Amino acid sequence: MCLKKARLFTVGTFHNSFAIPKCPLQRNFASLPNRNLNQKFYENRVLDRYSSQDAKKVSLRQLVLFGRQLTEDKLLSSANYVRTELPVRISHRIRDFQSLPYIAGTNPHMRLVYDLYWQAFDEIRKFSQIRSLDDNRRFCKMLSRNLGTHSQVIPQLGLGVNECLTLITPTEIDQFMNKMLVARISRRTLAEQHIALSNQFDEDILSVSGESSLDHAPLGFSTQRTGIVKPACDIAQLLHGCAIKIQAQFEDAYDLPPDTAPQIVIEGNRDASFMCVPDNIEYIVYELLKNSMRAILKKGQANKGGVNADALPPIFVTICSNDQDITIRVSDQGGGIPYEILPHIWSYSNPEKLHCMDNFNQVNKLEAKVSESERTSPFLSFGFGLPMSRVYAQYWGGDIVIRSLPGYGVDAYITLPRLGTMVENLSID
Amino acid sequence: MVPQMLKFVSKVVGRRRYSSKSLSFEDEKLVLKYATRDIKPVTLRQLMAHGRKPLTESQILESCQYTQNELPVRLAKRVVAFQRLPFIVGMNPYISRVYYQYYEAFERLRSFPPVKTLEDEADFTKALLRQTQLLADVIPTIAQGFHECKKYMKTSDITSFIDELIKARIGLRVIGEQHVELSHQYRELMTEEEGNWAGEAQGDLKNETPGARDGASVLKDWVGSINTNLKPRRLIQQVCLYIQNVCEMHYGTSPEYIINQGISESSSSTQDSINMNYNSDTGNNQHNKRNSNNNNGGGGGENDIVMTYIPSHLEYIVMELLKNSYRATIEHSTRNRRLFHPSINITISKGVKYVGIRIRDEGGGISKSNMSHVFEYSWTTVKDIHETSAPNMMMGANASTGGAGGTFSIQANLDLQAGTGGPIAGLGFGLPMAKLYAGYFGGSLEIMSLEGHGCDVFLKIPCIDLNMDKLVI
Repeated sequence: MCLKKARLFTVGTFHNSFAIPKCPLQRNFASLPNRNLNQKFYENRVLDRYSSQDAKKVSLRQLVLFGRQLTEDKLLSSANYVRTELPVRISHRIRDFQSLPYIAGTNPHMRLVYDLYWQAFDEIRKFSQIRSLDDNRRFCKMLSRNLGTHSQVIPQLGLGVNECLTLITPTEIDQFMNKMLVARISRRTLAEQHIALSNQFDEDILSVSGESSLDHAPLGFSTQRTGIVKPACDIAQLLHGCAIKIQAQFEDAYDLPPDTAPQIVIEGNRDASFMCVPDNIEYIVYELLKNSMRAILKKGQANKGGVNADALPPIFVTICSNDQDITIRVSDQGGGIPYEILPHIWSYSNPEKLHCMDNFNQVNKLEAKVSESERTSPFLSFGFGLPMSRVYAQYWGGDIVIRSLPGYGVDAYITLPRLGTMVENLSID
Repeated sequence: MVPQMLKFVSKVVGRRRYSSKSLSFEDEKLVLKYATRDIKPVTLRQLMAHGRKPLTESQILESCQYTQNELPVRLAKRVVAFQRLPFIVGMNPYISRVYYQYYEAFERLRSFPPVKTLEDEADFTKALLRQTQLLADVIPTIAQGFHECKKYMKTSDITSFIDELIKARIGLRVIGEQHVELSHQYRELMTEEEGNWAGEAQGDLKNETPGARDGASVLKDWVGSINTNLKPRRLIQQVCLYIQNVCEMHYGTSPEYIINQGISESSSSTQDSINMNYNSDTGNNQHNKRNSNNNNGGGGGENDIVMTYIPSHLEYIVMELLKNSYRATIEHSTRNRRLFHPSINITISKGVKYVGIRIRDEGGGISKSNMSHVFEYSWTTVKDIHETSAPNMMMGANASTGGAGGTFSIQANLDLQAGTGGPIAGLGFGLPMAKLYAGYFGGSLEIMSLEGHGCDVFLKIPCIDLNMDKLVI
């Protein structure tokens, strides 16, 4: 009796089947444990225990300081921090899903992501206390596996959001997506940092003791590592690296002779350095340069009926730094963004972008990393690059501002704090 | 404020004799009567309709009657706004002086007999012109007054009072100037003479103001003070040259300027509009060291971007911004012992309904702490005229030094302003006013600062012919 009543309140009652979505991930979907929805309703109580807690935020500096004297004890306490913190953060997002209008929640793509989150939540919270390096290695393996399966999240969310545009207002969509993405970055940062530290720790033990996979570190062993954080990242070098990769990628895609892609000139304070997670910054820079490049080449094609390499204007990247912040300005002559479109470039749900989001059907995973961007064809645009970059920037206490001169070009300004003292910013609107 | 106090204060301030009428409560009632009327907002289309060619007598009279009815209402509202200031603030001699000026203007225009003939109209226009000139230095006076009253009013209240005052003033001027211009244009047409009536106020910038005419062919571009064939490039070029002269006179040196333009739709060739002389292996600004007068718009500017706007407004805004850029560049060079000044880089682009202008300099930028003050009114101005120190402009925030006086002192500013086509004169009240002017017809002004490097200022100026029904003054 009880169960029958409960049925009325569960999501998807009015659908008689969970038809396997027409996406390349059918096999993954089918392989998920078959969840009884009614059972899930009651399991929600478990969620409450976690979602009522606040996230314990960290700063880059804390992460670095932590690794300054890395001992086995510290590594294990990091592991347990991650073990207890991730479920709290995931539980908040599961809550967000549950607050979506249920009709949006029944969208197969959204359901897929929702189930993935539940699965991760369960798996991590049920992991027992980590007391030894072997426990830690098992934990890291489990984390890596989760990171792998969750790389579908962005494309699936993108497709889901795309299909739900008529059901939720654009502002709600943007807020939902921003919250999802910033939380995702935060969880991945914690997980990746811990995995990196663990690997580096093992490497160091190996080089000291000649043994790998010890259950406990030698007595008094300590090392100094910073995981994925770089305390003094050389900006000019980072930019230069991105520039080379982008030029190569576009020369390839547009069939240009070598060295004819638009120049990327790096100027300003070339000695500047700051504390950051280089992967994140590279992603932002890559996206902006990609947009500039694409615009210049498109314009070049349109004007001359074929790209004339001599007529391609260069992109100027200027570095400025003061005590507190770094500013990077990317200035191009790619024809600008019309004033009418400018307010919408940060939105995930702009109608102009609709056709872009369909492209998510063509990729199985999107991790929002540079290594991936390098391999994706530059012609493939998802409409996510700019909002995602801004989430990355704002997560660490910075921002991206875009100014346009329609008919001429665009200036993008990335500001980031230098010292890594800012705590994670999880509330991005 | 009590009228008796007003009389007392007027004697104290008395550099000029105010109206012989003593202000009584009766007068107060009159002011209130006008102030409580609604402003009749006029769309730009209506304003321009008065100037529809060919100009006829009835149009001029219509324009005059509108002006005669409308200005006293707006002036009265300003008067009342002053009256609502805290008593102690109203007692400040600078503030009360401006209050008096507005009061007088209101009185003079209100008491003018209704205009019915062309002769009446000529008299009215003369009076209007005179009033406009009398109200020329309102803003700096007010600034000084409020500076002295800082402790009696909240900064936000001061800012909003001055904002309202400036916005109202812009409206008054647009309407007033429009009519004055139309009136003169009409008379010129009638007498078919080459006019130089406004010669005394024009200074260097003859080509972009109504004062210089080469006959009917130029007249057709102008509707009152609106130029339908405005080329921002020419205007900016003239401002740059002017400022360059002043810099050279006072500093002995000056940066160059470069103007780029985005492709306007009519252009078929793209080559002209793109800067090509870049060295790829450089980190310094080789691309800025080119001849400053080569403004890439093709030889004679055939590809120049054209728009409809009130040139004196654009000129004011651009003047303020370029003054900042030039000075900052020179000072930054001195500080950093740069051997050359990087050029000021100006880019003009045209969107569908707006023209975008970017002014880029390498003057060291504005520090984060100063950025929040950059659009404030409350800094030292007239007071420090006698304490000339390091060459500083009379503007607000600056990367390293504040303060006033020096190179761009009162006199120099007056020189600068004398060339700006007349009635916008005032002693360079800087960025806040430029921002208000930019925003007046729906445009905007944004500053992006790269601390330690330079500034980018983004101006968005609406093409008012394309927005005429929406733009209300």
